Amino acid sequence: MFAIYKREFLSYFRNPTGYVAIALFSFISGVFFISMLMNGALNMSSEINSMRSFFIIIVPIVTMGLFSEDRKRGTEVIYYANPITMFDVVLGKFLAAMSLIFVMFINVFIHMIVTLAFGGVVTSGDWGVTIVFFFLAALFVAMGCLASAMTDSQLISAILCFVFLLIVSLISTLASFANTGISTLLTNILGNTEQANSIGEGLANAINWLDPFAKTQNFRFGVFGVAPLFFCISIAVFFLYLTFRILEKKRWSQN
Amino acid sequence: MSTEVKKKTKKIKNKRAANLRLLSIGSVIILLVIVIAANILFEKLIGNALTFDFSATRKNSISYVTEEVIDKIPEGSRVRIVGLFDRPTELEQTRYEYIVPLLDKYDSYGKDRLTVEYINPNTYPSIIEQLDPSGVYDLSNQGSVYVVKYDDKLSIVDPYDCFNYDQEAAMYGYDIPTENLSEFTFTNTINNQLAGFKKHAYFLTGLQEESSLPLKTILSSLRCDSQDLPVSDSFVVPEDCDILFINGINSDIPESVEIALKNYIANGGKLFVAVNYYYSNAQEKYDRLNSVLSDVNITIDNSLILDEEPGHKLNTQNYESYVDITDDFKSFAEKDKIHSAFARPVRSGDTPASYVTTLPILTTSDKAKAQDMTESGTQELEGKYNVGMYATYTGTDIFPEVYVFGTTNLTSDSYIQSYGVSDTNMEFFRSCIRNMFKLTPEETINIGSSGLDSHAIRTESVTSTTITVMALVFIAFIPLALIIVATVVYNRRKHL
Repeated sequence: MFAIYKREFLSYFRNPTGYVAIALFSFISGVFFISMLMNGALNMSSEINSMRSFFIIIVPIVTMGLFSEDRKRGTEVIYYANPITMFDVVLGKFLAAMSLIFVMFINVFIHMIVTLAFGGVVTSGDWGVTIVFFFLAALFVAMGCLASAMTDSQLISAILCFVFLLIVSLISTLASFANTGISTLLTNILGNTEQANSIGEGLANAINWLDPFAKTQNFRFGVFGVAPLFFCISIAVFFLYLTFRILEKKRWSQN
Repeated sequence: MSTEVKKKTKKIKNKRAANLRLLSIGSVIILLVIVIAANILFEKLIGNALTFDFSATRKNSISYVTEEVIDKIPEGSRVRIVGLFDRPTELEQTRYEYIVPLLDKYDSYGKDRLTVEYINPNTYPSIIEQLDPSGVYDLSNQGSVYVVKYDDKLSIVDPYDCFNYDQEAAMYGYDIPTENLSEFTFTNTINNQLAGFKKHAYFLTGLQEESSLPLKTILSSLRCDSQDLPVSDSFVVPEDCDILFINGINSDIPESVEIALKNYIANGGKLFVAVNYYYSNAQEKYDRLNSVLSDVNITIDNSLILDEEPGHKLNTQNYESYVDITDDFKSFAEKDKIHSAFARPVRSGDTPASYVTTLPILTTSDKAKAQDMTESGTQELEGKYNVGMYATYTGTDIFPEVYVFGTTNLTSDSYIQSYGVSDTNMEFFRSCIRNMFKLTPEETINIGSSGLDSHAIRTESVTSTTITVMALVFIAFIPLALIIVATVVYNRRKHL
């Protein structure tokens, strides 16, 4: 697994992908940092939270080539021919992508040092948001791995990953739509507005339960919970398992 | 290979593929079910136990005082905190940032005895009737407020009131919170519903006085509810008045009030007077008020106390200083000095009655000066002055109690807003009220306020040059350098 991790991580820097992703991240985080500096208050949580919004762009860039590139070039047979499990392959590539995200995040660590140098504070909430950043990154990178394993085109892989992340980002909006839709529909059928609203709200709560952003938002205020992190990790494991299954299927279908 | 063997091989392969597909789909479904079930169980069983408040001010945690109040809720009863709006989802940089996670803690600690719900009356109109069947509180027009309900008692808590605000900014129409009072507000409300108000305070109004809103909040934490009492020609002190406040008045009381107050004191009433010497009242001698206070042998002088003695001087403004708490009142606060500003001297009257006992409460240093601005010029007399005095009757059946302060630093909005409800002055004020009502510590609760998150930086170290340099480094140099490296790498790979 380590060999795959090393190969994959270094490959980010043997082609422009890694540099472009880091440049993009540092530019966007830099813009946030400077705008806060101009206002005389450096709130690192805000910066990190804002950077989370750009997962939707950064994660597809980082993960698009993970499996699709191998498949396109036919180099995936190397994995099949070697005495390694497909899970090692998936995990190695996943960790390589996570490492790249960590390298990107060094920018934010530098911003934190500058904040302290200017007499600002790095609060427990800021560290909470940092922890959440990596757990959400793990979740989204796992989704990106799945998207990459589903196709041999990097572009389609990036689009698929973008769609996955978009759906996750819009969970609360979707829940709100579902609530309104179901409530209206049931009001017309049942005639009892409160009962209909109750069912609509129940459905919305069920959908919202899947929202990792809502689950982890209290970290920003210094409230650290293990359950939200467990949620992110378990869903990430699920997506990695799906990726593993897809690769296994391809492996055996080639035989 | 014969056709039959080929068919057999294909059949075996198909069966194997079908089995593999089944295994694949089955394992994915099983894992999905395990993941969802594990998350639900984790959240329900140990989610709360594994949640920690690491915030610097512990703003998301409830104190042991709140836990004790919740523990006091009788078994089988329930206190409901109902937010009449949808649960806020975007908390960041809103008031709810300090309220919603805190109320979640109330909910998790309260279990069945205290619940926190968010019910929007637009979605569930019946909630209004459920909470306020008689419609006394007009809940449908209250906006986004919390309702605290216990039995048939109901209180409304506006999220706005869960904070203290910067007074100066408020004058320009800005609400800049300076102190978080969320726990203070909710726990006091619950406690007052459980234990009920014990005393009634009245505030004399109509004398160009300052508002006393934060003071009333502090009084409610002492189980004392407050009401305004406007001056009028037919002024009488209500029978249920346990204490009358004359706070921060800028003009003297009228004759009707003078008569009523003399009568009130003669009947053993409790009076709390706080005035100051400010631009708005510098010419006011409070003759009628002094006439009332002369019954308890106290006089408020019309001069400004200036104390430049190093041990008492607070800053370059000599009208702001520390005043000493006298030995008789040392137990009222942990520190032996409190903050005073724009103070008038308060002294014993010239014709003391034998049945009146007066005690100084707050005194200046020996080197203080009382600046008297007369038509002939400014006079300054050096000496030790009282800034607060206490008076009562002795040897009689009637025991009026009167606290008179020549500063409003114990009672004014601006002081409480600036220094908070946990300040020494406020501690001293609470002790005065507790002492007056003979309240034991068990009968009242004391919850401190907490600070707000601040991300301000040292503005003097951030010049426009610094910002330009930072912008160049973070927005231009680093990203550009990386793009250049990316281009070089791309070109090298292209020519491989």
